[in-house]
Amino acid sequence: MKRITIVTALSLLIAWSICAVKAMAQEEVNDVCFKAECWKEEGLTRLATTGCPTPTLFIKTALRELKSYVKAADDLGLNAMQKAKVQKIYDQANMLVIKAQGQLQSITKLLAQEMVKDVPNKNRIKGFVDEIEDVCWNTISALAKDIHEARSLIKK
Amino acid sequence: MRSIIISLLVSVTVIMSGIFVNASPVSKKKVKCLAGMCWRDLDMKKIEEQGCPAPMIIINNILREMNGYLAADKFLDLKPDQKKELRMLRHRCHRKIIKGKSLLNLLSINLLDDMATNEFSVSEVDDLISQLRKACSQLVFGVIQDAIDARMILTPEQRKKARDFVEPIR
Repeated sequence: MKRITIVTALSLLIAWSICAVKAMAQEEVNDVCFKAECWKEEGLTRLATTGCPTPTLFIKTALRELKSYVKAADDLGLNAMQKAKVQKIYDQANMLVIKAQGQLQSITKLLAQEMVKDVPNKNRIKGFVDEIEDVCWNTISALAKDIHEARSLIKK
Repeated sequence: MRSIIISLLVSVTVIMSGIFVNASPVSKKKVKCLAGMCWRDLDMKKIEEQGCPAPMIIINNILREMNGYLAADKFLDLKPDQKKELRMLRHRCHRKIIKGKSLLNLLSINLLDDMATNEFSVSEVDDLISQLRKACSQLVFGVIQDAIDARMILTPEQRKKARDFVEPIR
């Protein structure tokens, strides 16, 4: 009985490991995308599954596209200067997103603190909401420009 | 056989005691957002992972708060006029959410479609982003205003009662 239990547990562990490795390999294959292909059908697909495409979708897809150029620089035949430029764009984009995350967290905390009050101040709330949306959409706008610049480098 | 019966009896006892211990005038799950209490544990991890607070994080809190007042009407001793006003406000808020989300969805699709063309126009994309910013801001602030208005329908005593009730279950 003990032996059967051990064999079953081991089989399950092996099966789980195989599935995990396969999933990781699949993830790696799907990790790279270039230009328009990163964005095709993203909106409608997400809408069908989650109901509302959030700004996250844009940020994640933008970083994925930029990272793809860095990862596949040799395959794309980029020269040293292009490689350096693409890397710089990607690094700057990452920094921008990290900075925005910090700002958004602190403003959202302030918004939440105001909302906990018995009578929240609408003007203060309006200010926080505007700040959140400014940081969020300015980040997205900057990322769109980064992508435009990276794509124009690839064309050359 | 005997051990099965004993474990069954123990399980039934545990479940029953759980039911009786939890017995309260209102479902705790429904009312834990009363008077803005669910803003205390806003999921900051989600914001960290997602980069921007998606409108739904805020909207969900608002709806939970507004639904909570009506779910706890007897406990809060709401007058018929108060209930009527709260229902009207919630209806207005639902309309706002549906309208705002539809606009956001359409604008988002346009933005993603633009990005899905190899040579997109930066100015067109920027224009869509500013429309999204405006729509998002209007929706989020609009629903927050409704939640604050709903809170103000309650008397200070009712708000205190709601807070005192939610505080220990958080």
